[in-house]
Amino acid sequence: MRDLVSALPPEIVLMIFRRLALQKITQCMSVSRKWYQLLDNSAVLWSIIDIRSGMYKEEHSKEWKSLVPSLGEHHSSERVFDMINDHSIVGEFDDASIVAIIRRAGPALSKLSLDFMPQLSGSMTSALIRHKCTNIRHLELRANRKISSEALEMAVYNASARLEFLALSATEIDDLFVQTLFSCAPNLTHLDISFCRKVTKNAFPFVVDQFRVVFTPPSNSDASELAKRKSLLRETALSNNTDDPIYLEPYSPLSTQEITHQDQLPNLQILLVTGCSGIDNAAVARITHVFGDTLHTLNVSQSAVGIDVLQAISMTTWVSHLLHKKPLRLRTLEMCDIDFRTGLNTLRHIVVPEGENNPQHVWRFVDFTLAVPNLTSIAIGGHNSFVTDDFVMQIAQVYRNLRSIDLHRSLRLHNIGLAALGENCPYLEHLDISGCRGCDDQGVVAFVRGSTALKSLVLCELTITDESMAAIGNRLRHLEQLCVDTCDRLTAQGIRAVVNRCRATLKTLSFNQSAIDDTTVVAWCRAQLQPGATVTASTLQSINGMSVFQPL
Amino acid sequence: MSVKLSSSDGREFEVNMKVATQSALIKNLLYDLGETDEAIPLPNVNGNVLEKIIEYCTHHMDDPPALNEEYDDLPKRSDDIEPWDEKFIDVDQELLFEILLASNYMDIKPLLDLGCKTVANMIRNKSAEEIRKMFNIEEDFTEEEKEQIRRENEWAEDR
Repeated sequence: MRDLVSALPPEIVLMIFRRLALQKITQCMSVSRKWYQLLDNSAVLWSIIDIRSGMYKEEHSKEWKSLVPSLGEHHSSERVFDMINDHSIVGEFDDASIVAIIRRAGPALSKLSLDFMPQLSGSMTSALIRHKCTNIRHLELRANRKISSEALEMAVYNASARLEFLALSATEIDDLFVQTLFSCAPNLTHLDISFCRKVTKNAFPFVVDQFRVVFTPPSNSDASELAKRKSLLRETALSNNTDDPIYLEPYSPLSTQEITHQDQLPNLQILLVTGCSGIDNAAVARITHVFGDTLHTLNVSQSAVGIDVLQAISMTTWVSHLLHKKPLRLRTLEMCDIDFRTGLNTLRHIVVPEGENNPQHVWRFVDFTLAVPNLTSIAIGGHNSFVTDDFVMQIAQVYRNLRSIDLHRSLRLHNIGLAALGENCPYLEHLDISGCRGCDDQGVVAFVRGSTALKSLVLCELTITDESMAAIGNRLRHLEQLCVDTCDRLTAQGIRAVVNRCRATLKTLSFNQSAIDDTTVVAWCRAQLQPGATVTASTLQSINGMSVFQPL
Repeated sequence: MSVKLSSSDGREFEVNMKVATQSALIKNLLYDLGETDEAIPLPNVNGNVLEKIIEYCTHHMDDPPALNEEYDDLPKRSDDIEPWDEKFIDVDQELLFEILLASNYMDIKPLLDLGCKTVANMIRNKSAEEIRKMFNIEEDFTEEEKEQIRRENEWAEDR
């Protein structure tokens, strides 16, 4: 018998090994010399470096997965940093192992996804430059605290020509870094710089007149810094890529403060600046102005914006209108947890103080709706005091095509606002009113009477009873997800009512920490629902002095 | 309507058009040649393997055409093999190898996928030593090379 695998044509070998995780491929390299060469030379196999798809061992990846969703939920970047330090995954992954993989991939490297790896340092990023990884399309280096901002900047700059997806949350990148992107990453569509505390409005250019947009001129101390970084970047680009035609003439980032309209990340669609303490209303005005034609998702939750950001957005568009531009394409706007500093705001008529490019103006909500006519998804939950019944009613009446609304912990929302949503928004697919203490059965029943297209409903921490459950079961024919954690007035009967009526569509059902602590209910639900549906239920128990959720 | 295929060892098979055209190679040939009574020669495929491949194509002749998968970055699944396919592909290594080559040559995408999945699954849960045993491979590294590989690939070791 002979070695069948290494006798196969290379394209079939590739097809086989592309089905295996990098960890497995790496193990296979120690089978024999032939296998080593075969795999070492198959750059395509190494082109996707992603700790989520099998590079990590199972126990690490679980830990990692539990960490990622929580990034969005914490209130300040400081908190996130603490959390990262607490949870650092110190595995066997060090620079040397990553560098070996990067070497094998070389220019074939198309995706590099290495978040939360505190043991990685600059040698990983210099390997990217050394091995000519200039075709990366997807780069995620969130929260890698040991990689310096300079090293990060060089790696990104080096790889930027094809870059489409860039995530650098919770890193020390600054305004100049973002400005560099403007001049060198023409294909960027997704930019995640959330929890970057050094990013401010100066990262984005503003408009001086019809044709010129400029970055804020640097102060004197910034100017020398700027010159230093500029020459550094040039050197790196020239010394490392002289035989690469794309890089013979490197982009000249930061060479001028003035940039043309073509230079402005012309494809940017998604921008996440969640939790950036330097992002304020003026920053959002610049963002919507510069990216208004392409941007469809903007997340400014937990940043320094206030409710008057809506005014800033509509003013921008008013300026744009003078330039014969179209209304904004924005479809998804997330601004949860933005109100913890500003206190009470009344929305109807805000008299806005004079600001950047803004004449004094009495602002009305209708200005915003004219500026952003296509909004289908809005997240304004999280103790925002401006979220009143009145405000929600206005949204409901204007945005009748709304697909998704997140109102969690809106303490000033009551049944009447909820009912208005149901009455006006028949296409709503997702609603989150967790912790809205002003809402109860009456509101939920009125809501489901109208919004019958609903697919996902999150009703945690409410005082609702089985009456709501019965209404949900009766009205919602498309329900896929229902979450009623910590609703302690619900009984098994209510859960059964929903499951009975929605068994064909329901994929996720969760009633953690509710009054239901009967394992037979969970088993019954699992038996009723389609295979593949998940049912989660747990009770809080004390184990070794620590409170832990104990699944039923 | 039927088509004749002839294998490398001279065996002739008459099959339904729907069976034969699952091979993109034959489909294109027929398109170029037009209708023909002559047997289409497949010089890279012997009779036993061709018989097996015809068995597969006959079972799958009414399948909807597979979506034209672009080259994508997503890792591929390997755990979605249908029971009939699993039984079909449960053959000795030599034949599996021949089927892989033939389906590649005849350009039968679903069969090639099935073969690759099967080999990937054979490798997936085995250590390097077990893989050597399974494919009858001799370890031919020097001690130094072994040490170097061990250092480079330490992260992937099972512990």
